[in-house]
Amino acid sequence: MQQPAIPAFHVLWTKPVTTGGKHFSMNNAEILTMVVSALMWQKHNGSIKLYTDKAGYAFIRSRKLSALWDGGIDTELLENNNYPIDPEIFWAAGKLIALEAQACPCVMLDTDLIVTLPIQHLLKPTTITALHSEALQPEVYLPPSLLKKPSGFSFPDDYNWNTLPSNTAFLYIRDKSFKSFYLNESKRFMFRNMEKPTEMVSQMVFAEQRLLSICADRQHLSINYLLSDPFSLSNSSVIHLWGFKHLLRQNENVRAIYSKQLIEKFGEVLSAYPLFIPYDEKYM
Amino acid sequence: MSINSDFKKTNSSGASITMQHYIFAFVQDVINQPDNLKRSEQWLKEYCEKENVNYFELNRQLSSFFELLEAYRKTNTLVLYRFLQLQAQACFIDEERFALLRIQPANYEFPRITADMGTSCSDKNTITSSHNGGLVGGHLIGL
Repeated sequence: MQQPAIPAFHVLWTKPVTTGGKHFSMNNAEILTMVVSALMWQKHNGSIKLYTDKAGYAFIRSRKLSALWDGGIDTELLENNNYPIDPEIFWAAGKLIALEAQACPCVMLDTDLIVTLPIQHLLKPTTITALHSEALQPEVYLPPSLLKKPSGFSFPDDYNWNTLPSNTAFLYIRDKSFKSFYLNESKRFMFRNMEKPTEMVSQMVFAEQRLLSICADRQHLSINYLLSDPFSLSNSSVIHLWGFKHLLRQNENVRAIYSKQLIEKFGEVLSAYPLFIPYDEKYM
Repeated sequence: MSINSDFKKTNSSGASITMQHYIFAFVQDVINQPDNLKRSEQWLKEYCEKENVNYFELNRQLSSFFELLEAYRKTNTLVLYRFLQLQAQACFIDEERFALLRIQPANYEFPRITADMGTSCSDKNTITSSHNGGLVGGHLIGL
């Protein structure tokens, strides 16, 4: 039986880059991954929308990608949002702002993640599905005493700090009630939390990934995962650039080989999208 | 030696066994005796002529291979090792010959054959969002 489609959304929030005075850009391999991500979701799982801001939209238009998202492009939400959030510390907050606006059930899909198969049947029976769990490595997931907190903030006593964080490059949430609870906790931590940490990972992964698991635990909800081990060869459904993005940005040869492989694998779906031709010509 | 080729043929049809042997020897030379590079390059060019292989395309692929090798030697990550293997194939060096190049193996191992999708949380996972280099599902696109 065919499962009903599940709407998904991508987020391209440029504020973390432009606030630091830099020009927003993506390399060809990252763009190609985003294109395949959107097309494959539409092919197998449902419609997809993009939330971005003016600078992000200008970039999308400059690459002639405006027609990629069948659910349309929203530039108002992120452009006009005035939450007191430091975009350099909380560089993925744009995803959470978009999640807040999106109706449930929905899938928050990172632009560097490709779902290659229909997965509605895996999502429908669950309340929450994330990509995979993460280890509680103390240098990434800091103990509560080391996290920077806004003035007057305290963590609830019943937070379970032993709960494993969830990688949210893919996140399905079925119910609005849990979504609101999670996002309210996250906003309470991020709002007016302006003290810069020595690195730019720990604060964000707490607000997005660890809090998701803590909030689910607090509401006695279990989180399902698409992958029990991200590097398992049994994974037949997910490609995620993850930390590999850094290597792609540094090495042109790696970008070329990766793009060629992606085009070989997804040539059929890409060929239906005429604006893919420049990438095909460059890498094949 | 006379050179008659127009150098415009593509490499899509492959290279003869003799040519593959020569390319392998060339790569070994560049790795082990980089001082002889110019002479080796000249010989490679002449072999390409004889074998109807596009020298410029092959040279481009070999340059990518050596650049990747340099990047790999700085990190020894498995993901770059795989890219190196793949790039070697673009240079007509198969897995067997690649192994003979004696490039130092990657310093850690993934992926593993473990569980399927749709499962619940596993404590075996020892990686986090801070890790650098991992491409999840790379095997799905031959990486």
